[in-house]
Amino acid sequence: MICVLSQSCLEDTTDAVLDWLCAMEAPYVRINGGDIDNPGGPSFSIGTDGAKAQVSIDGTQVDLDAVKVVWYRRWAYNDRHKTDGLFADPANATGENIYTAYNHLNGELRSVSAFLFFLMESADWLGRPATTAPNKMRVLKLAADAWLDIPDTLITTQLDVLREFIRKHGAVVSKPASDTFTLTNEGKILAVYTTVVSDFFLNEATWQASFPSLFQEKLEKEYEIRSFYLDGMFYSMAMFTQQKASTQVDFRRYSLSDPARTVPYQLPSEVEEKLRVLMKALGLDTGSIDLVRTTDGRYVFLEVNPVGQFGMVSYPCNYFLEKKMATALVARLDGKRKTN
Amino acid sequence: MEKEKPIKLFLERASLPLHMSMLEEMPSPEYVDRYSECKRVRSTQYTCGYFYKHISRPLPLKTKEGDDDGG
Repeated sequence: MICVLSQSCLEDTTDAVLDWLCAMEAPYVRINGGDIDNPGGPSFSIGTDGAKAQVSIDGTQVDLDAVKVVWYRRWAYNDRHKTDGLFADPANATGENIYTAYNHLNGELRSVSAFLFFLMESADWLGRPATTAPNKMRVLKLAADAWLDIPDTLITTQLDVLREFIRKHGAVVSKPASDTFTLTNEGKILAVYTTVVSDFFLNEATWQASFPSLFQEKLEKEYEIRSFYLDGMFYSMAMFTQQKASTQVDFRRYSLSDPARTVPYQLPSEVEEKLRVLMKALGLDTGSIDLVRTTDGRYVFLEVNPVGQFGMVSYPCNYFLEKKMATALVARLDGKRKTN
Repeated sequence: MEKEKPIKLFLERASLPLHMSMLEEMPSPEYVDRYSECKRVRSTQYTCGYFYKHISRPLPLKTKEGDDDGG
């Protein structure tokens, strides 16, 4: 059996892959992160006679020993405490109490989930929890070790060092060293994008440079490339993001009504070979890779997202990546796993 | 895109990485609703043949009305 570990929000890719598994008549079960903190969620017993799990999904008991292949797609909990409230007395709902309680609850869910994953450890995994969010700076270092071109990168708490970096490159961008996030403000959702650092921020009055920040040289882009990697193969797409001001620095500022033009793309074989070396170093069988083709002909690696949405590459390029993902899972079930 | 002035969300004295000073309103906020459940999340909701919804070519003329994949 194939076990698909996914989530019930912000995730349509799993649906498309499971349609293909269904068409291929492959046995599968989908477990969502939200099944963990849900009535009727899994129970685990651990005794001197071993560990047992009672996992009931869709009214059927799942025999974890029968799981031979696991696809770790994504994993998000219900987090009902965030929507339903937590503290009986609002006076106790201080910032620190909320943070501490949320942090603890998340740790509990992560701990229970980790045990569920452990019980399927002997299966063949495609994607793993431990490799979901690789350290961006480590990835850049490993990419450079693989002889890939990367943007000149600086992490600093010093304004003078940043000013010198800007003098060297002319313009630089700022982006998170970890994951992106959103906040709300007056009912609007605010997000972090890669943004050019303007002079406005280069003084102590507007930026207290006491917290480490990540900066990179601003690349002069001809176009951007999103490449989906699966078992040694690349499925790439060029994105003409420079034709619109909104997407020139960060393509995620796209407009759904007027999207950037995208076309299937073939990376040079030497770039693909270096990327294979990188993916192997990162222990990744799959991931979405971002690159930039600069106006002076460089292929610059930006980052890899092991759980990126690949529908954005699959549909416009007719790559049928969902079928390829299903095929990769079935191949593992048949003991015919491809490797890079 | 160069950001001249930040949205005033945090205290001026707050110690933050610079990117947190440059938060922007999302152009497509409907795609970050953590609490909106997808339409099909159970193993029993998948059907052979549904995958034809997932190609970018025009759909066959006889596609059922309201047969939306939520994607």
